Amino acid sequence: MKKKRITLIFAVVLIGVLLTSCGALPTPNWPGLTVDQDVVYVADGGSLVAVYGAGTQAGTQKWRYPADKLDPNKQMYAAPTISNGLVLAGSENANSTVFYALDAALGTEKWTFTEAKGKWLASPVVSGDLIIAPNGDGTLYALGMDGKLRWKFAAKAGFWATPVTDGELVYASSQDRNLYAINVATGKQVWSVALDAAGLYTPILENGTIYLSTLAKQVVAINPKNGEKLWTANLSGTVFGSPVLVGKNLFIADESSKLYAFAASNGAKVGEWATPGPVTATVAAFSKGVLVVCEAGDVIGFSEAGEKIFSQKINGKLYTRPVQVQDVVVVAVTAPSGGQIDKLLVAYDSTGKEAWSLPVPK
Amino acid sequence: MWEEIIIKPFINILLLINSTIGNFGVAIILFTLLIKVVTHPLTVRQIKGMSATQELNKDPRMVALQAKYKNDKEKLQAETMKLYQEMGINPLSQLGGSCLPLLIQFPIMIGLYQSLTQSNPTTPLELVTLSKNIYPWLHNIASVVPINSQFLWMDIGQVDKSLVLFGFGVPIMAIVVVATSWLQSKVMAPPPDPSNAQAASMSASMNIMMPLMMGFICLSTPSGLALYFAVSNILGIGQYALLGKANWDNIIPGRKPALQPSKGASRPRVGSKLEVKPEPPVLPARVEQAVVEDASSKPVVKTKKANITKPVKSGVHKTK
Repeated sequence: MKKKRITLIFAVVLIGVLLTSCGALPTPNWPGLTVDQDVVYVADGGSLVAVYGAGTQAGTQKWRYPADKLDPNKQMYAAPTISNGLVLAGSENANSTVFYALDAALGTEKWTFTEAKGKWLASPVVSGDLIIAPNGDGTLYALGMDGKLRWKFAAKAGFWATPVTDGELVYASSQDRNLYAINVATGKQVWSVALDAAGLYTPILENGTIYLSTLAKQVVAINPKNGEKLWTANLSGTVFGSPVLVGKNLFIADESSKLYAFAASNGAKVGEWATPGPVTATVAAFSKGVLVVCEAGDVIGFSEAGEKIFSQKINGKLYTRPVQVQDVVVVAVTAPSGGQIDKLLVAYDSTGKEAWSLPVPK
Repeated sequence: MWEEIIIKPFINILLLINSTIGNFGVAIILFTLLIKVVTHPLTVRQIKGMSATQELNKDPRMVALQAKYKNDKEKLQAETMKLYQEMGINPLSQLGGSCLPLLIQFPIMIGLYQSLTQSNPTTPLELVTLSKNIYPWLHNIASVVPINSQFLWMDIGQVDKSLVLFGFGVPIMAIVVVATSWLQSKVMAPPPDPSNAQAASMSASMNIMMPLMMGFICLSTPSGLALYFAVSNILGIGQYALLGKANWDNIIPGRKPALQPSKGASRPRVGSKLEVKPEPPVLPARVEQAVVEDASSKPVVKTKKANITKPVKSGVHKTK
């Protein structure tokens, strides 16, 4: 009887632990990728890795944080921002959200900020000596380079997009369907403009105009001085990425397997091309045009005129915006649900030939 | 297949309620209620099946067999099957009566858990997944997002630790889930059988372990799931109460739980192990009673309020 009782208790505890471990798994997201000079930084869940992207050491690891092993309590997914010798990145797990400042040269911890309540899903932006970090709790946190809070700005819903700044104002789109312009020095709102859907994607600020995409299948151009909408362009499918300016045109791809080019000046459609599959990532500029990564693993190089330059296929899912390091473009790979991948990063030269790759950290 | 049959319909119904109500917490409560209503016939069948099995196990002929062949499991099984045949009972139907509804409800519960987590995306990847799971003729992802996940003191998409005491976040919902799970297990527990100390002991262990396990799960999962557990527990108690199967004596202080008659209370007649008569009354659950065995081991039942049961055709006793 005692044996049966012990077995029963053990079974219940085991089931509990198994279920809890499932529940405790951090919410997965795709890797965050950024580049500074010739170093690529990738935040992929349990670690943040700095990799040489060019030169004789291309493809080799510079450092990793945490250094020795993957830490399930440090789940980093947002692309880090590098400024003033610091690597700025947020992490979260079920119990805490921590914003880290790491030494860019060594990968060691300099300071942390733990006041936020939500997930760090977007990269911070730096303006002068101020770090402006968007959080899923609906707050923009402005920190000094020492990690001390200077001001914070609260929206009605979470911030999932990286803000942009011109040094005077910071522009941040929120899930509450507004684009906010906030004074960098004071943290006070200067203006806001209503969007047709949640602002989930990073706006770009080019040639004195803000361009951003929304869940309402639109690309919108906005005057940064007053929030006036200059033009709106419509897409066929749902868009999950930001537009990118290449030459005089904005390029963006959507879930309906199309790549579009719109004139940045007036939003007129300049071109529309088919992609091998749905695209959920932001397209990237590279030396010969734009690089499109499809969710199913296709990597396609297009010229500015829309001609296909090369096509490659990767084992895994592609959601992350690729980055360019000198003459190569780097793609981050996401493991499919229930599946595994062998390469976390793959770099291609301008002809589509694989230049180097980084295995998945163990 | 699983996605198409279970997850997608659940997600779309949940989002439909959410878009009507405007609050994801209230949507979870209403959706849980809807699931309980839809699966109510299955629950009724399950409860009836369990009751029938319990009654069957209390039949004096079964008790006699268990006593006689307690050291010979194979013989006991064979004689039990014979008894089933004699009583005109299909053991598989008994099993199906209690287990089949539970088996049907289990994937619904799992699907509900998955749809709850998928309906409230907290990362861009989850949003992409959600956009693929909504019916385009019913929802537009642009109108679905953002989801108002603030409910009472909680953010439904976050682990509940809003109340901070002495620098520590207090998991209120986990505590609520432990309390309601314990209440439900006590209310649903059948009256203890004094002759089967082992079963009673295991039942008591489960009544403690299961609520603790549920609370442990809630410590690291979004509070929306804890809300679902709590509401589901409360509705489960309500279901048992509506069906008259709630055992309130287990939780009301000062009232002793009703007892089942002792298995050793009746003896088979000499010469026929299957012809034990008369059958002893099954004691009603809600009547305070005492069972006293006399020197000849014959049961003497003293009740404050007579409520004697009569045998039904199948040999299963039914309490009036």
